[in-house]
Amino acid sequence: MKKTKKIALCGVMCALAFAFSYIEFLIPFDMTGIPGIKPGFANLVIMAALYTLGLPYAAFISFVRIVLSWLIFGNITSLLYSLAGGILSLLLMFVLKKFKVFDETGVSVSGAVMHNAAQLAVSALITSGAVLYYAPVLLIAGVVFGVINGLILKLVLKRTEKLFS
Amino acid sequence: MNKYLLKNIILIAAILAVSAVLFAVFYGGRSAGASFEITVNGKLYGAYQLDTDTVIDVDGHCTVQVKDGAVSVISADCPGKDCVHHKPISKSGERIICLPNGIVIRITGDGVDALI
Repeated sequence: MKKTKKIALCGVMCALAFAFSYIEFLIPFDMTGIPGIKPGFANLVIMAALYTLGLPYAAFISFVRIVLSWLIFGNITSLLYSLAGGILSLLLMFVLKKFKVFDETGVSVSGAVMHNAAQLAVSALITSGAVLYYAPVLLIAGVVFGVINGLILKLVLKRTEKLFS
Repeated sequence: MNKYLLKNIILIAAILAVSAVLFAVFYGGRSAGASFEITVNGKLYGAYQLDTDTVIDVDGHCTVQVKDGAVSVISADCPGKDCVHHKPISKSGERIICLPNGIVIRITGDGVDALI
């Protein structure tokens, strides 16, 4: 793929990732009564970037998305735990993909669970452990949405193969 | 695909097993609580009873309501409003947490939550 094409696609994916964040902000997924559960569709875009454009582009898109979300509807605390979740989950997904430990579904589940675990760890530091109460629910949510996103990712990669060649 | 299917199942089973253990630890043996306490940034803000309906203002950051033996947050000044969306709590050890303001509302009443 030409570099100019990569850069153009990277820009489009930044916009898409942010759009998903915005949709998730507008529709809180709180039917369980426990806050913080999100389907993580933004991560879908970041995984697609990881698989097609590579780690540096995926990291850039993730960073842009987090900073934009923070500027528009966050606060300093949310920036801290978004960054922790974003960085750790992307690194884990990169390693698992590179060494072919899992396919798209496994990578997606690991990324989602890591994302929740990292955010929980940072929140636990802030609240001196009180939020660990949410851990089991967030783990299960990570598995459920991780599987869904992994399956969607597979389809997306298959259908956009020509675009990314 | 088949090569990874088993690995995926093992991964998911492992995570679900961990959450089952955590569920048992955090949510097991819950009974109805009698009172609750509010802490702000780790410091005790106040302790209250569940049987009297009342409305409490916490540092001007959020408004806590006690109604029919359950506690809920009815308004807050944080951007996410996660605490407001949280379902009312009434069982011992249950809590509502407002991260941006460092406010934790926790039902007390028996020794179960000493585990946590």
